[in-house]
Amino acid sequence: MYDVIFLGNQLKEPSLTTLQVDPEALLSCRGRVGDFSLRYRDNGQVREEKTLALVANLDYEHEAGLAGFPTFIEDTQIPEEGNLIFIQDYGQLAPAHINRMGLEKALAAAKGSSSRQVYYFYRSLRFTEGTDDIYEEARQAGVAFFRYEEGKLKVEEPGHLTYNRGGTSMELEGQVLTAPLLSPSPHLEKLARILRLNPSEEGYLQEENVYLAPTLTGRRGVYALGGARNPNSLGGFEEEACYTLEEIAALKNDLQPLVEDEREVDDKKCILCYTCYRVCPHAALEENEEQDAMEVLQEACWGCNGCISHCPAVAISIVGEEEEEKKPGLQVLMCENSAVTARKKLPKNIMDGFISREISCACSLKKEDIYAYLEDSADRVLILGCFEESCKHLEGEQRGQRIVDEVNETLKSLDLGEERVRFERLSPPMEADMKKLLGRWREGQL
Amino acid sequence: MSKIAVIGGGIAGTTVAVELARAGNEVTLIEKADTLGGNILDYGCKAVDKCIKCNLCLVDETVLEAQNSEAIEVIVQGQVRDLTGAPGSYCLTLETGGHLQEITDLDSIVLATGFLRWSDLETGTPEFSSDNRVIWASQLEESMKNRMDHGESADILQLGYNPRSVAFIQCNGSRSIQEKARYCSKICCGYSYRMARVLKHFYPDLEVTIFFIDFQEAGYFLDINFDELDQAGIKYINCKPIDVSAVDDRLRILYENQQEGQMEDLEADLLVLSEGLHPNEDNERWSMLFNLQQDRYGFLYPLLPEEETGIFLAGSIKGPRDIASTISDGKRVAYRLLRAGKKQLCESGGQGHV
Amino acid sequence: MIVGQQKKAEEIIEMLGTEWDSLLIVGCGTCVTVSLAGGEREVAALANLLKLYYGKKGKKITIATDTIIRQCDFEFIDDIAEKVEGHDLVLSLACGVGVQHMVERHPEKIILPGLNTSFYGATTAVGEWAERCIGCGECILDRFGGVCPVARCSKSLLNGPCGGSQDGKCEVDDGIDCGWELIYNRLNDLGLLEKLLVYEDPKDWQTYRDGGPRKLTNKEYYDG
Repeated sequence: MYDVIFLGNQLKEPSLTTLQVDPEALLSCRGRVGDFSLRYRDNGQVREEKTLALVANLDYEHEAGLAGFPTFIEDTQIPEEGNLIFIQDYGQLAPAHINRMGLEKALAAAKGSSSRQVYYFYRSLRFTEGTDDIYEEARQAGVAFFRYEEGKLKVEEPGHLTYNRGGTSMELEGQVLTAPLLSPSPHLEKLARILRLNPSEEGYLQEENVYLAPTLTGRRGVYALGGARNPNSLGGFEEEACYTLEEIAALKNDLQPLVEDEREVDDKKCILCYTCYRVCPHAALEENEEQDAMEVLQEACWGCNGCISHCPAVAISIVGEEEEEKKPGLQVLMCENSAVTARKKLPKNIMDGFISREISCACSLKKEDIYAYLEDSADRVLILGCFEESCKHLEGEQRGQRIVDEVNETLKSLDLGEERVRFERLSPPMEADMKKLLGRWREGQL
Repeated sequence: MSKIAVIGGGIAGTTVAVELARAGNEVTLIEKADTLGGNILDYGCKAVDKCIKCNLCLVDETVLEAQNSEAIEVIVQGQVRDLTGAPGSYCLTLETGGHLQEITDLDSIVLATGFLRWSDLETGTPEFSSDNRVIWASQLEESMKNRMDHGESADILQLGYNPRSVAFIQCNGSRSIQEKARYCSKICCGYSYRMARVLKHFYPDLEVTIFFIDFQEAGYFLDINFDELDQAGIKYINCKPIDVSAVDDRLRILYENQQEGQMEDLEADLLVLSEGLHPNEDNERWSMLFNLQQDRYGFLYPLLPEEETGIFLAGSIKGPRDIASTISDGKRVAYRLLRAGKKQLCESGGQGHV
Repeated sequence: MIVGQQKKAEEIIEMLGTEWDSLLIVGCGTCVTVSLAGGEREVAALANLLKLYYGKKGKKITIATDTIIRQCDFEFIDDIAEKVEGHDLVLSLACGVGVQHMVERHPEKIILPGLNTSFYGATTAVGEWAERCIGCGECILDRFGGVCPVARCSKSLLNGPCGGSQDGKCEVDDGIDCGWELIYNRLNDLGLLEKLLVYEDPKDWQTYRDGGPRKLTNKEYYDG
């Protein structure tokens, strides 16, 4: 059992046992934090290893910012003689870390030779990495900085540049070096599938969600570093790598489930349709071959109850939980990650006149329960949940929205009312919003 | 089980305290103000249609947990006056409500007293502070937090009229040798964009103009793409205005259009000054009391390894950082502290591969 | 599996009519549970919806529910025989097979279909299924690289594409992949394109419905 298996580049850390596995070689990943089982190809054989945690740390795919010209990343050899023209932000704004690399190279080039001229073209300089000093030094060393607007800079072979700004026009000769355009490694798609993660829109392993900062993924124990995340985060690599290793060491010391409740699958009802497996945003369900049924991996579970609400065979339940009494009336269902927190800052009587319930996430809504709450034509249901991309359970609020839309559409088609179920979004700090929403709901204005 | 004092009840301090308490330690959380939350207490969520990663939502739960945890003793209106003792048996002297109290036998101390906003410092142009058409970003934050309605025509700025034009000026109190703060505060580009977006949502016909020097990344996420800002209907002008004057009931902002090389002016109903992060006024006192060093800007860093001294720094006391990285820094400090003196992991770090 | 979709609520209500006081909704625990159309959860949701509807109409009714493992085997239907007898009307959320099998066991009862049975398909995403086989009775997948020209080509052509596809999509519906492009690519990847040079005779549709409703026996088990 290893502490960390690195998929991609390995970080050396003497107090943790680590292994490096080529992402190309990965075949499968089962299990959960504290007990992942990885199978991968190694010298023509298939090997299986267990690990506490997984870190995906890949390189980016990069292409030249300007076709035909070299980029100024680490491996590029800077020519010893002749003028140099650094160009960043061509086509795409270069992330802060790339800014830094460019400035460092420009500074080194200027210091290295007093006979050459070094030019630096940019659209926006980033100083979030403490690059102010490098910039100052570079200027003092004689690097000439030029800000340009998009479209006002033209580069022709073989290193001839035309620059226009505010009526001034310039022509320069020199070796052109550009900032690379970074894009996701081609391995990420396969890795996402094997690790059961939802890639971001751009194709990076880490979804863009506030709960995942800095290096977390939806699956506990699986971390994303470097090129597995979007390039904006490159500058924080060192700090975030340290944070990740420290958290893994903490988990090694003491691994507890994230939620107190235990969820169990009735193996007589489960028909292995795999709906829960697919719906779970945290990869917390797996087939238990002995029982011939799905099983909830308690340490991996984040407690959203999406599995419970989506299981078509009603096979999953919370241990010890009693069937709730469905009381019709004016309901308010509050997501524990947003609405409940906001409500705690308001006086208790704010809920007077409502039947209020706490829910784990909008994805735990069940159609059958919503219909049961609507017995009387005066009954309505208000769901207060999180904004898109700030849902703790990733696509949870989207699933909830779909359920609400489906219910409203059906009710409307049967002339049972319009918009009797409302899903309003809220954030924990906005108790003022909550107060207003509840007031309008009470008065039927929503 | 260890006994730990956390000085500072903002994001960093509460995050550390909560992590330590969850791991079974006894924590005393000391806060100067009368409630926990620190600087961001009055800030509002910037989501209108979808989350734009201002990260404020992550804080409330932590603060609530700190307040309700049995393992955390929260002392508000507490000011640290003295430190005595040695690693493993520190003693802090606090002043609370006029009298002194001691907290003894501390294994470790975490210092997380945060930052000051530029507007908290007693500098700035006097004539502006009396004109209510010129406000600091933190004031705009407060009115956004307490917006009175949820709907299209919320008078979020509570001006009593529909403003036609709002301007932001970036980099006040940062990127400036004169203001003794040459560093970039990192957070202002991000929050001004997010606030501008909220304004556009509540006042759809509003003209929003942001005067900037450089545009910094606004956090981990790719949502904020400088090249797409035009689509949000926010105008970015690349220069720091030269003059602001009052003309009738509006403001006239004079600036240089660098593209055309000529002076132009903009009329606005409201001017928002983005403000950066500055070292807390207590930093100098902490450096002496806790044997720390101040960098050239006044932020703190440790002289000796924190695992040896048992005194850890967490959050923006070390330098400007946004909410998300403050939270992860707080967690990291807690993890390191819990490993009880073992060597810091990942000392050599390593640069990100490209 | 057999994939179906629940009928729209209005259609079900119209079908149920007014001549009843007690209704039994029977779900099926196999194919239609997996295709998220007629399992225990769907039965519960439909029952609550109907209660809501009839409640508003002021019609006093009772709705009972049960979900049996399969409706295509009599033993499971027999398990709930009493329940079926005890209700005026039965709504089955099984596929057409299940509904008819229930009818066979309860010839005197009205058993209504709550589902539109659609096709034999596979799950392509959560909540999405695609048709793969039409049950022609004579599988020719070996000759087409594992992609069926009968089921995957909109026109069931056996000797090459119609030529109307655009960017790999069928001219009938651009949501459908051109079956022949799939066949070609697959055989190409396998290096077996020459299989397509063998002329495929017109299909004998007798093994399909064109010989009438089919029956199959397995001599090892069948007693008759």
